[in-house]
Amino acid sequence: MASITHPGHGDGHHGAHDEHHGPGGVFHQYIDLEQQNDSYIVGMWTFLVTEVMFFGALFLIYGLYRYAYSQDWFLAHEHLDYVMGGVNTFNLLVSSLFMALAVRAAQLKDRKVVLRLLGGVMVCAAIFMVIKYFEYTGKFHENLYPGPTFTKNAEILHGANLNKAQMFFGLYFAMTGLHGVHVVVGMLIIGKLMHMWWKKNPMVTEDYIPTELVGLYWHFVDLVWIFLYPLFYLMPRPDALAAHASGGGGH
Amino acid sequence: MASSPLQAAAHAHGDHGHHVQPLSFYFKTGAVLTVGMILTIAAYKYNWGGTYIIANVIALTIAFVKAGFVVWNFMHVKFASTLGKMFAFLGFLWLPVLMVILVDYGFRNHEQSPSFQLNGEETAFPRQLKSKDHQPNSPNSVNTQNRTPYGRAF
Repeated sequence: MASITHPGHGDGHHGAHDEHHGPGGVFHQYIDLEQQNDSYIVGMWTFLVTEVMFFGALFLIYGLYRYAYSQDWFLAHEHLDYVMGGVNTFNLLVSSLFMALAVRAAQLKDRKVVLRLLGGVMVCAAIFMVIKYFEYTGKFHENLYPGPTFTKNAEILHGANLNKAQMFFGLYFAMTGLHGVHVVVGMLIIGKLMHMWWKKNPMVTEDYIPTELVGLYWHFVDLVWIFLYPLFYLMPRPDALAAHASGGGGH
Repeated sequence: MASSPLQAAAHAHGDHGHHVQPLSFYFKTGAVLTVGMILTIAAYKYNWGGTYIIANVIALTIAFVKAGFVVWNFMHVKFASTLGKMFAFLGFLWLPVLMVILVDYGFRNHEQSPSFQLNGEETAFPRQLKSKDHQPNSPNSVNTQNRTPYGRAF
């Protein structure tokens, strides 16, 4: 194996250690560009696996209590606005598409298109946070955040058991909040990436991998929301409550 | 397994070690995701009338299909090396393994040791004391009526 030449260097590996292969080239510890890119991608996925574990534990708690308190959680979930959540779902979907196209443009080294598309992702992320802000403040005004000040008014929760509803809103804030933090972190990273593209930093203009890795992170943020949206905003009506469904729209 | 230096060189010089997909590839994926989102909302608005499990299965199935498209096409796992694919797959395989922990809650009723709150109404998964010295009218007694296989009816 040691006799393998380094094709990425063109003229074999003579003087490979003296030459500095900057961004876009193959660093001397790799056999070729493919292996180099592969290790970046696998490294990023290793990080994403820890993120799956992070969110996975919360989804486990969610599944447990959703099973135990399905009726009360259904009644509490009716307080969430599925239209706002739906707009945000579509919003993140579009941002994900923008990001995928930005990575494609980075592969083609089309700086202008990359900047425009990343700008589009930033706008989508900002809209997402603004909608979340309105959703959260609405809940705060009605004392629907968990804690000793949690509302005593069962009527606004359609008669749900207040303790179980509190559990619902606790997980709602924990999971969508953690997701929101990821959106903000994503905005910071994409902002930095845009800055590098703007300054024509060869690290990003000559090598598409940094853009690809930021893209992987952003798609993961979208991925989490794909599950959060149906689980929190679109709960089906439990059988025991189906009788009340007639008349349409419930409360 | 390893490509010949000639091939690798062609790769490195030719398309820079990656394959640029046509624009339609991404737009089609985006369209599939949009349709999935609309289907999820439509399934939510549709009155399944006493088929809670089916409604849940449908919602989650659509979510998993959407997630698959994002991971496979947008996250480029489709074009990743075997090692890359393996990392992505194992990362998500871990989730169902974690969910198996939930099985534990099915057996809580049969646990011999008392829990901190045996029959509290606010306990999600109350435990049932089955020891011989179980006193029917003691504070620890458990109402065996209205019980589901997974604990007290909620």
